[in-house]
Amino acid sequence: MAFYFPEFPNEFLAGLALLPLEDGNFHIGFIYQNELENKIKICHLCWHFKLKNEEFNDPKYYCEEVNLNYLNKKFLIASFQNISDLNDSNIPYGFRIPIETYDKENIYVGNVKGEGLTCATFILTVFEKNGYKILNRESWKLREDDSNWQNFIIKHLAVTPGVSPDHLESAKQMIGSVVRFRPDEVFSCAVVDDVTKWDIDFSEAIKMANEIKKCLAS
Amino acid sequence: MKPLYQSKKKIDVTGLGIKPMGEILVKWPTKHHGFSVGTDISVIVHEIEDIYNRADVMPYSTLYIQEIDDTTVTTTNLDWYTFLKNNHQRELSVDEMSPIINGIHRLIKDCNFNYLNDILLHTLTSASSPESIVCMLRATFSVKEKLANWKELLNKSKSWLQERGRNINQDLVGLI
Repeated sequence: MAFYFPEFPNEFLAGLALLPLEDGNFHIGFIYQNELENKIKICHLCWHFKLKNEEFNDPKYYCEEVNLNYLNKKFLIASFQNISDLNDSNIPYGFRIPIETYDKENIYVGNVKGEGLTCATFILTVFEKNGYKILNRESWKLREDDSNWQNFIIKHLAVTPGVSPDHLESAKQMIGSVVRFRPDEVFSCAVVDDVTKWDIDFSEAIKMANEIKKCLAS
Repeated sequence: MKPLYQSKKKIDVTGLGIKPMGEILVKWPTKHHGFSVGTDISVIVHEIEDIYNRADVMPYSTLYIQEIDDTTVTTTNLDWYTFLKNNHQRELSVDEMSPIINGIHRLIKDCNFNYLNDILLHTLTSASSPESIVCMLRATFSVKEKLANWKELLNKSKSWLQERGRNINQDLVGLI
């Protein structure tokens, strides 16, 4: 069941939030109830070296709960908190997910220039690290229009302070050759009604993402 | 210092003492006292547990294993383990899980796989709460191949959870 801030379901604990952007793309974050602070918070990779874990109060996000049971939601929250505590300014923005994303202490360790995470692959890799394989990465395919988005990102990275020329150049070389896990697809897979159906294929994810886009358009 | 406890394995525990706050401090490994250099940490932990069980310490006392060489001193804080050992039978909150996850990852980072495997073996029992089971199995998921008893514990966990009427496809989704 979808919802928007500030209307959270009763006893809301954890879910995902999808922000429609003006250009038709999306941004995604993990939202959760921080019981200690009595706040809803969002953990999201905003941009290059900008992982944020902050109060969530933006009514423009389309939200759904993750349909894990109570104890798994608690574990997932603890894991996101742990990763955000350790990685606020060391995750580069990049198209290709490093083979090893986090070290055993949950610190980001990708070190190949040009590699990094997006808002969507950040969510994806935290889930995967803990045994929640929400989608079948191997089934993902290259799409022509991914290059448009990748070019757009490169332009923005080029004017972002702190982005090294090496990282930028290597990321540029990946345009058109790296599959894109889109936020709406990751969102759709993560919030599926029956989590035993996880490990979702590309074609199924696209169908589910289209359903969500229809909801947003209506 | 008089040894507090003479282990069955006749390991010199001269460097071991209990502080007024109920802390147990073990210096390991050192050329001068305590366990001999290179002693597997899992062996030491067995001994410490033995001592810990005998000692009349506070439930929330702190257990440290301190590694010392000629130039550096590093400390592995095992508060989380002490906490888990005392609380694994009850429901855990998010804030109680966080230090456990963190502590496990530190052990993994230091490649203390034998010790971690022992912790899993000693902590996860049929009496463990579903939270403890899920927390321990998931936090160690990324190194499951390096933990000798991980799969065995996963199978046992399935039975323990099922015996309590839990839905293992939900609890252990992605692990089974």
